[in-house]
Amino acid sequence: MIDPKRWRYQIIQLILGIIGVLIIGKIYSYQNNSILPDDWPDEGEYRYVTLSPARGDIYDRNGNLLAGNLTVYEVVVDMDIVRANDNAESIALVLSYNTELDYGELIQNLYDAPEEQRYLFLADYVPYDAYKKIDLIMEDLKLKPETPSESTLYGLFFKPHYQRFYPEHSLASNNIGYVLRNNVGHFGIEQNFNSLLAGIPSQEWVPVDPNRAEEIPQVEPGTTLILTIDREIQSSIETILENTLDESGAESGTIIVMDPQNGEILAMTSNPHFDLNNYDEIYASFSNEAPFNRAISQAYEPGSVLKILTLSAALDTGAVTRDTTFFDSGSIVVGGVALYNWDGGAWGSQDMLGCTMHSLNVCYAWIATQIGTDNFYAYMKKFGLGHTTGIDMAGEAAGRLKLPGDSDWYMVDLGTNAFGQGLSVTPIQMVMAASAIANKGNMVQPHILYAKVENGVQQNLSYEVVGKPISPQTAQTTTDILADSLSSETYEAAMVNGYRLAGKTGTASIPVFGGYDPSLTNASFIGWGPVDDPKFMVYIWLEKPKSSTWSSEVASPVFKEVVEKLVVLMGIPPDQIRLQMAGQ
Amino acid sequence: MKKINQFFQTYIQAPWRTQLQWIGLFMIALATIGIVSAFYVNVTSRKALAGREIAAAKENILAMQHYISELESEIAAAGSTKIMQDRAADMGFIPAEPEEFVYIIVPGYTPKPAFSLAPKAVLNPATVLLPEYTESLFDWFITRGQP
Repeated sequence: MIDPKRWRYQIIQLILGIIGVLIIGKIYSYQNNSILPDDWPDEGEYRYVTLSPARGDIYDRNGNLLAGNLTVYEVVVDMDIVRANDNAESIALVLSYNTELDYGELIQNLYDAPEEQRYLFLADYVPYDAYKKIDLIMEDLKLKPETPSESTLYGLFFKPHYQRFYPEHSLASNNIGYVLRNNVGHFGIEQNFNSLLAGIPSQEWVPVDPNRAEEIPQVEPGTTLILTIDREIQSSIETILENTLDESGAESGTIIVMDPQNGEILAMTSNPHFDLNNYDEIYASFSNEAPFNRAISQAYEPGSVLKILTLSAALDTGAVTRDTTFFDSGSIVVGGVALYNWDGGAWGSQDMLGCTMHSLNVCYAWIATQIGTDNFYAYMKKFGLGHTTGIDMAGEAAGRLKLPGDSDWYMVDLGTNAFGQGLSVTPIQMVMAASAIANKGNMVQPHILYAKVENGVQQNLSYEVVGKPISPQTAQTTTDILADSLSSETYEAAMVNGYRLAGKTGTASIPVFGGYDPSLTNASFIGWGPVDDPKFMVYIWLEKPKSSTWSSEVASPVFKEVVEKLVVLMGIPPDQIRLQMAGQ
Repeated sequence: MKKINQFFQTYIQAPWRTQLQWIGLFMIALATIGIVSAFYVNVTSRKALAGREIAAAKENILAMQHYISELESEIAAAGSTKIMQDRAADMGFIPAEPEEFVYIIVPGYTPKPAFSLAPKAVLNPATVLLPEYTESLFDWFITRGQP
């Protein structure tokens, strides 16, 4: 028997089945993006992007920013959208009004774009302020959908990227170096640590599918560097150097301030300076091939400042003692060549203090002969002459130390080298060598990097003792002689009331083809203090000063001026007060 | 036994019951598929939304980094040496000379520490995560079971 109600169940079954299939079909349609816009990316779609990390910042030792980044914008238009909206004039007008771009050029570029070209690059390095103004206009237009399409900015896009910025402009420019728009550092810190600062730029295919958002790489910025430079000291010595060059008429100048106990460069400058934000100025300054940083890149014959190394070597070998006397007859013959004092005079019987105080070439040539050729050059090498110091800056020069056996070395070189002629050094080499005398025989490597910050962690760098060329006793005796010498009337111009300092002048003849220039000199000064606990070492080099050729007249006052600034900025009380405070 | 046979007999003799059974089974299957599909759609849509939020957040991070960088540079420029010196001069300040200083002993004074931009690197960083964040349920049971 057939149930007459069976058809009802079949209809119910059919209806429920259809409903169920519809529900599942709808769910299937949701799942398969049927409601998503047409331009919704496919699951396997990728976007090719350039990932440019921000270049690492550079700070001074007190946290003042020396090199940072600005945000600038690349301006691109989608010509398909612009053509569809016929809004080229609006775009050109808004861009020209808010940036330095020229309306005529913009409109010409927009109209001249080939029909098949979709994206048109209009400009780059548009400043943040200009972008913000235009962005506000774009936001405003979004709120006014009734705006005629030709008055909109549809199709205008801004792509941000970084541009190096130096808030201090020319301050410490010789040390920092600069970065071109290709993000490659030139000179100084920017070049030496380019790979750290620049981070790791890359070009990658990034999935567009939101389900794979976790695959979008996060760009890590470059390493941040903290320098040993003190901005205030740097500014002071730059001002002093600038004034000195004006007053002395010197062609160029260099001042280095270093902590002789750990090799930290507190300040270093040479001229010319550059506004690192102004590329044109940098290139103009290089038209005469001036070294970017003379303190490390330009070797010269230092003259009598090198006598401090000769004296140390002589004391260390025992060739002389502080009380050894030498009778200065006015000349000495070394290697068949007669050598004379700076004034051509004879100074009679002199002990080592006298020889140093009066800077007697004849005496020092004699000292070198007492040390012996092999010993003398062995010490000069131990002091690092003829080699780069390894300072962490790009462009360091090695200077030249002729050695016995070299084709151009003659016996007379032993005599002239003893008072700093016939060899060449960079100022930074002299500072490193002298650190052994100031620092109880320990020679420290000069360095400018204090710490680096990477992945949120700061790593402070330790200093390095690169040699012990002399004993602590020798260092002490040499320092005492130099301090006593500086206390004399001869060096009155370099003395700073209340502070016991050690130092030595150097007036060097300048070699020219066939001999030495009779009228031009290099004036140098090296000094440090306070001698019992040295906190600073100062090196000064003035090239071809015109107001006076003598270091004691042009370089010594600069040393005094620098030290007077240093004791204030570094908070170093006069010796008497300092020792009293230490005793309490 | 007789009653059971009667029950089956009755059931066989009423075909609408069989049909109803099939409808029921079909509906259960349909409902199961529907529920699973709905869950699937729900989860994938939430995942897609989260993905969009992550992508947007990453873009925001980039934009913020650009903005922070811009502000840092602006602040640095506003506090640069020359500007600060000019401001000080405008306000009537003059650089101090060494002889103008008066040094006094301040009991308990400690010198300013060296500038630090971030925590120092340590060779063996101490564990900072509590075990609750790292141990498995199994580990937790074992830990709880220990005296």
